[in-house]
Amino acid sequence: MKKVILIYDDDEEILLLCRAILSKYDYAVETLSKCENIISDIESLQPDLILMDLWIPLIGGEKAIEIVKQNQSTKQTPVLLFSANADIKDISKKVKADGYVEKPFAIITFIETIQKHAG
Amino acid sequence: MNKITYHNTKISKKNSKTESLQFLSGGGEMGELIRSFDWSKTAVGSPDTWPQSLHIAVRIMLDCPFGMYIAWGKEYIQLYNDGYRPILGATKHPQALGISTRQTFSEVWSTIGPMFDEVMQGTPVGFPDFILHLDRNGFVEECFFDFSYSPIRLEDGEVGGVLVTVIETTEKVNNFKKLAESNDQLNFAIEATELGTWEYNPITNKFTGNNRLKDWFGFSQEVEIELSLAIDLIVEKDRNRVADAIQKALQYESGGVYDIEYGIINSVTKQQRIVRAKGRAWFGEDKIAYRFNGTLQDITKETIAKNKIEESEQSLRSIILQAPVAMCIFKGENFIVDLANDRMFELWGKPAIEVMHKPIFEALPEAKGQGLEAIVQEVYSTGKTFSADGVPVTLPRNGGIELVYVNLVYEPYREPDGKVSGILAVAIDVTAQLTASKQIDASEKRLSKMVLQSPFAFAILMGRDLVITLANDTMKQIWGKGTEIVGKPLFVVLPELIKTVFPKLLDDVYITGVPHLEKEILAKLEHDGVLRDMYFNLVYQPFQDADDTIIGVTVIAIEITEQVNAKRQIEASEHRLSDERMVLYNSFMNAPAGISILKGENHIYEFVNAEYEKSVDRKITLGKTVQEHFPEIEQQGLIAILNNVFSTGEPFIANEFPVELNNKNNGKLDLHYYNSAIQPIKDEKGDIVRLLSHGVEVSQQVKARQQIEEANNQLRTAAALTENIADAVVGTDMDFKTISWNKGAENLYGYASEEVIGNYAMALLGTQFLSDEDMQAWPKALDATGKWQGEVVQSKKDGTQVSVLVSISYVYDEKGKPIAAVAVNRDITDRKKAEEKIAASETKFRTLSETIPHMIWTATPDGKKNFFNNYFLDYTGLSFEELEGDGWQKIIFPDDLGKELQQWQHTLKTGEDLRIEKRIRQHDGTYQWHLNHSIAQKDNEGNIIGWIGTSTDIHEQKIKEQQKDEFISIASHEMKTPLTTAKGYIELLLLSLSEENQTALYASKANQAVEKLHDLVTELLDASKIQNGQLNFNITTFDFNKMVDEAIENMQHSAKNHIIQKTGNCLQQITGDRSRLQQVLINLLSNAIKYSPNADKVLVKIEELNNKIQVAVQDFGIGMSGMHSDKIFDRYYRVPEHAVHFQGLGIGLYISNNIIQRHEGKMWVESEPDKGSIFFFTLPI
Repeated sequence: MKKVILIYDDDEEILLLCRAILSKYDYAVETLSKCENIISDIESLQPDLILMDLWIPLIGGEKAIEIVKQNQSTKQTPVLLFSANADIKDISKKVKADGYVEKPFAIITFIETIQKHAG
Repeated sequence: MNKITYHNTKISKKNSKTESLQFLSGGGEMGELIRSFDWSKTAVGSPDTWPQSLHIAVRIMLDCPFGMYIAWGKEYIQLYNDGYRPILGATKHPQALGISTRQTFSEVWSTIGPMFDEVMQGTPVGFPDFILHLDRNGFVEECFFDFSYSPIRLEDGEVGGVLVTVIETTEKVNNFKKLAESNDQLNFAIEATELGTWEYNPITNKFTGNNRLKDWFGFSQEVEIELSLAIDLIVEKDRNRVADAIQKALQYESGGVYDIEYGIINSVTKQQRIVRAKGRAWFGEDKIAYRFNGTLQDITKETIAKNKIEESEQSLRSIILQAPVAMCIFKGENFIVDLANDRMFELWGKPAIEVMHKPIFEALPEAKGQGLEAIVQEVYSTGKTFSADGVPVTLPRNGGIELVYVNLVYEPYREPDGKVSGILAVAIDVTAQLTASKQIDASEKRLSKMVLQSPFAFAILMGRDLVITLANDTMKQIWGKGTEIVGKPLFVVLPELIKTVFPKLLDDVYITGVPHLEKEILAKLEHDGVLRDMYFNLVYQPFQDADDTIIGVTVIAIEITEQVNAKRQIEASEHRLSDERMVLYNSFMNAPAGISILKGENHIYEFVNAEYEKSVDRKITLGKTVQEHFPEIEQQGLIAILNNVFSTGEPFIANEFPVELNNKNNGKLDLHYYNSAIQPIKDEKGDIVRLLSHGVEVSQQVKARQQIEEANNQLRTAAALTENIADAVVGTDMDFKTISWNKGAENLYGYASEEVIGNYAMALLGTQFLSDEDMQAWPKALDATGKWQGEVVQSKKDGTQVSVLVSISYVYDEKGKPIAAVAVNRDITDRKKAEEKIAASETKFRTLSETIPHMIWTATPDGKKNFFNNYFLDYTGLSFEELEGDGWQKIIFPDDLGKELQQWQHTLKTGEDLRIEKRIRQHDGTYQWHLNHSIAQKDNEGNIIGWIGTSTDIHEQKIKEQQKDEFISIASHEMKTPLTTAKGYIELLLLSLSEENQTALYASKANQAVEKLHDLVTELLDASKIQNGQLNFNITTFDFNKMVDEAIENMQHSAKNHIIQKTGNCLQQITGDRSRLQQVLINLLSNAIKYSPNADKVLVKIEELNNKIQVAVQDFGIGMSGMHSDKIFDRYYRVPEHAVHFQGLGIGLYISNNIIQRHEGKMWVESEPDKGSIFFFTLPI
């Protein structure tokens, strides 16, 4: 069974790109452009890894990651911060994300990071 | 020792060394050195051989508080005083004493040698403001001196040496420097205070101003402008008034003052301002203005505010004038009547003209002294209302003074700033209600007081029987018949008076009704069984009833027994006999002159009085001869004089007659002077038998006068010697009458010596002391120490005033008694003027700093703040006491304070300027960003003498800057997103090169991303172009409706969740830039979609209104609160609550708004949080 990667981003182009890359590496890809219902999203989509954009409607990526990590049923799901913000490293530590992918990225780094956290 | 004999007042010298050195007394350390120096080994020789002019020169030098120095003889042997020592410095003093100038100043002799030689030829030389570096206070400092070299002439007119006087001018020079610094400070203040400055040259009719002033008028930055050009820009109604004020200020009589408010219109922008011009004209000696300068303050805002205040004041005034009760306003601490209504004038009993605009208690003196002053004062100082009912006040009524009762209210009258500036008074006259009963009470009280407490005896006798109806205690005591007398007829009580004149006197009054007055009348009254002689002044008056019928007599009696008795006693003792001989003897004995009677041709003492014995200092034995008492006088020819009078009968009369008498203590001859008269006394036969000698000793006076003459001689020599000294040297006698007046004095005061000598120079010069203390202190100081130094102001002959530093010292005679005074007066007007200018500049700075809307402070060198201007206090809402020292730290935002204190400490050490941004707490508790600029004020040695600083509100700029920073971070973030995509697809493209069918797709995706990046960059570029005014438009006339449809279609294409619905149409053609307007619509639509992620539609509504078309784009999204709706069109502005969650640069609406404005349209927003926003724009058709 394919591993499911759930990507939150409000930029359609980014989502299309990620879908193209991950499909090529045999991942199933789910994309969403809003993050306020993240708990139910996880429950319904059962992702193996989440990529979370930082500036995303409505509640923002930081808050969404906090919700995931504070919820007993979802906190095991690895979440990577996915942003162009220069301070991404510090922010991911602060919100207790499992890691981060910096935009723009090299496909090889992108895939390695995802393989490391999604198995 | 100089000794004066009666026949020769010339100074004679005795060559005793110890005595000859006494002229060197005093003079401080240099006096001692000069005295102990062995002069015999020098070319000058031992002091007893010095010529008189050197004596006097040295004496003056030692007495002088200023630096003086003598180079004597061809060798230029040096003597100098304490004041000169610093000039020689540590390397030349004390070695310079007694050696040649040539040696002491060998290093500069080639320069100064020829000058000394020139002085020796009789030509004085001087150098003003000569610079010397002296180490006087433990460090080397720059000092300035005026040097003057003058010849000292010997008695024969030859030059004996050079007298050098130095006047330190360091202070003056420094003052001029300080003035320059102070001007810098002023300029800084002007910059900080946003004042315009101007300078007008009345001679060329040109004027210049700083750039700010030129901006206000709309002048280009030319150097000079014709005055008329500026006048033309003054609003018409003010133009003549300003021209008049300028003309007036340029007239000498006006004092040059200029202060006026008027309106100006900028020649370019037509912006109108109201300005306040202040300035001063400067006049030359010809009383013609050569300079006219000042400042211009923009008071537009203040004036508008003031007008509003005036309006409200005007309405208050009309209320008062129409009030149905008496009302008025008193202004200021003198309670000047500023406004009052007619009812108030009625109450005061005076017409308006007598009270308006005058202090109330001056205009209405009748109201003084009734406690009202204290009440109004209290209201004025405490601001508490006073009200009271039925206050009694005496006021003018019907030509007299009447008691009036008023109900009073005194209300403090406040300025807009809350300060009490006067009193609003309301008064209601309630006299009519209150007076009636009070009057009745008062008249009863008056009567009983009059009768019972009168110091005069008083009685009322009724009927022809004179029944005692009323008698006060005094009358009862006089009668001496006890108190139980009322109801009895008078002569029953006083039977001893029946046989006297009294019954008839009283009966006459009763019958005729004519009052009767009697003075010093005797009444023998029986007191305790004894008849006493008592004297009285009496008044009998008829006592009438209401119908004028006489019903009795009133008696007022004053007992004067004691006075009469005393008078009689004096009269009795007047004619006593006197013993004429006794009188004569007594008057001889006690005469203030020495009197003796000498009998016979041998002049035997027959009579001497005490004064005679005292004046000759000898006990006289009567019966012995004059010769026996005074053997020493025969040689002086005095016995011969007596013989001559005795034999010829011609009296001898001589004034200030010198007689040498043996001193009984030491046997030496003492010189006495007498005003003497010797007269013959003849017997009955006409033979001369006796001589009467009458003499007054005047030795003291004569000797004093001779000393003064000696002093005069010395002073005249001194005057000749000081002729060339730049200072005024004035010699006076002990009464301060002028006896010498040098060239310096002539130059300084303009009076020639003939005009002054013999007069009181101090009075002639109108000498004014700076304080009463000085005026009282100077004679005391002179008497106590022989010296006084101080500043005075004196008038020159031409009437101009000079500030003078006076150093006055006594000149003493050989016994150490002061005989004259020498004043060395120095003109310090320049220095004072500079000081005044500094003070004025300081005051100007203070005034400026107090009035300007800018925060200014000063601090001590160690950084303790010691001054804050009013604006600072207003801004922070704190008092000076709360801020002073380190108190200001509590209003600095805590995060900023640490950094500031660190840098401030560094600055205090280095004296560098400090610019620091910090947040300062405003009175309402909010913090605002300020730029604090601190500048050290330094003296001319570079020492920090204080700090001055300004704090400029940069809150808006600061916030903008923060927005810009934020923008840059967002922009970089934003650009990264499409870059990510582009990069991703390009990488995918590389990975998929083998999969042919995919390549084209990936390539086109990459292309799209690159295009998006391009769009963003374009948008950024647009924003910066707008900022620089370079955004270009391509104007065409087009179908607006079609353009809108295209934009909607375009957006609908990429909007997946929203339906865009259009209502309304525009059938008109529009002229404008089609693509820019479409850009606006797309921006609004993409915002509407972006900020309504949960909604499913966006509405576009087009309406045609009057001459314009209105477009509304409505979403149902997150909306925003009203506070943002103004700023939303600012560049880089993003609604803070949304910035975290929504991407964007904050420039889309800025660009859109700008495009609409350029089309002469308007753009605005109506929005509500969580409901959505409607963006509108209009375009003219």
